[in-house]
Amino acid sequence: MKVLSKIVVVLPLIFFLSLPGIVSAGDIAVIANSSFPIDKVNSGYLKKVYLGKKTTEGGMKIVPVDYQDNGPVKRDFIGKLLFSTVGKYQAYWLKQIFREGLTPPASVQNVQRMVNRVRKTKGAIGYLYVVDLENKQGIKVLYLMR
Amino acid sequence: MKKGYIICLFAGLCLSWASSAKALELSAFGDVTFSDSNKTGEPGGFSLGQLDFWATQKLDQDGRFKVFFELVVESHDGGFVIDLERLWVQASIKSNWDIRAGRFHSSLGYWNRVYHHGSHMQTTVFRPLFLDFEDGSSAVLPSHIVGLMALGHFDTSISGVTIEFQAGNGAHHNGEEIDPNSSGDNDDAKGFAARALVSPHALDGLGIGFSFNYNKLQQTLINKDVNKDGNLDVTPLSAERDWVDQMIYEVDLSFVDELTTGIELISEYYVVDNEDPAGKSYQTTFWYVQIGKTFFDFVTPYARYESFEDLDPKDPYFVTLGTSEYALGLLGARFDFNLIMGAETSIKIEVGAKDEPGGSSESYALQWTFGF
Repeated sequence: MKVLSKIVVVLPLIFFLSLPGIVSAGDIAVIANSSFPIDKVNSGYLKKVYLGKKTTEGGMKIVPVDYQDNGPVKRDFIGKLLFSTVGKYQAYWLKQIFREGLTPPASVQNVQRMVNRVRKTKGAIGYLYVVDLENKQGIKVLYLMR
Repeated sequence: MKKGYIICLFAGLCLSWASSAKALELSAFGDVTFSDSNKTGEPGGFSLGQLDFWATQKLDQDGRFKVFFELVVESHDGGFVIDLERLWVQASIKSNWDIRAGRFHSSLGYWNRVYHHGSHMQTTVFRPLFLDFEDGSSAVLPSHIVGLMALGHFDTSISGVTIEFQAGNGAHHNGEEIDPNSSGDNDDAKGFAARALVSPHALDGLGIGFSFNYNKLQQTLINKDVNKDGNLDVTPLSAERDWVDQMIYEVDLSFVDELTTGIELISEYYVVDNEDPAGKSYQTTFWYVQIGKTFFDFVTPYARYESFEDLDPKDPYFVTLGTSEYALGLLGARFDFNLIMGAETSIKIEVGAKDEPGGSSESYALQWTFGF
């Protein structure tokens, strides 16, 4: 039953994604906790958040969330957002921690935990493939990364 | 004093481990360097660089409270010493303001606030000579301060702005080196530093910094004698006496894009204004510019030019430190194995040509750095 309901959700989504000019399977949705002060951001904003250069929004502390492993979604996100690689991104953060004791983005193990963390944490921002976005309760989509 | 640092540090660590189940993630940098020059009296040889242990730890779940330390093991007078170089505890008092208490690197310039004691972090083998730490042979700046620090981060429509203020024990000269008075101030005169860093949104990686540092320095004259047991006896010859009122102004320009183009351009310009007890003022300026670019995520050729050629020979501060004018040009290459082999290690090769009043000399250095 659970599998069937997933097929019911995913099949129309795949059909939808296959339409040209809309979204594709590799697109990434940037999500935020529903209490996040703004509803839309751009790539420059996200870049600053994930590089530790923007830490607050409207008086609320921004909590960027990342993935522990260097899987495809993280590679795509870093590539599309920073035009860089996960290796360089990690080297960048090592330097930031050493320089000023900055705290790097919190990390989670998988998509399920990413959604849960963003849903439960005030000011949290995370990302996932659009196809993995099944339940939007408690979160909102801030940006679609093609 | 060194033993005191170790005891305090390990007591602190033990307490933190005992009071919570958090694991402390300790990182380290280190290097081994071979250097040689054709200058008379400076034979070539291997040296162990600073073994730099550091860690940061959140003290609460949200990270409103945080602690950081950097502990360095380094060779000194034929043996090894342990120095607690940085130790601070931080509280976030507003969303964009943090306050810290502890021992910091002075808010003075780019290099001192970015590379700290990790030679693995810097592109080149050595720091610019005039940015040497207080216990180094060519030190001219008070690079540490013990006290309080406030940091503010602001985001305007055109740029990000970071502001730092530091107030703490004033530095003094202990007869051997500039001493930041880490274990207590020797007088009531306090040291102050401030820095503003502007990072325009129009060009990621660009930073324009302005720094200011004030110290009223005192000085102790000492006598060193080898006693009958062969040990060195250090005897104060005088009480602390006024040395100089010192104002340091600095401006820096940096463009560091490590994520995409691999370009690094750093330049710092300093003006040191020392006023002696009689009210006479002496000004000295010095600067460097460094440029490098990484190719294939592996090799970074670089060049640096340092100029310390505008020294007032009567300045009592530089006379005591034994500083002399120089100009130094460096060429080198750094080979990083992190991105191509997943090994946090690098090899640097550097050649330098130095002009100073005693003549010219060339030097060579090969350094193997690591981090874990």
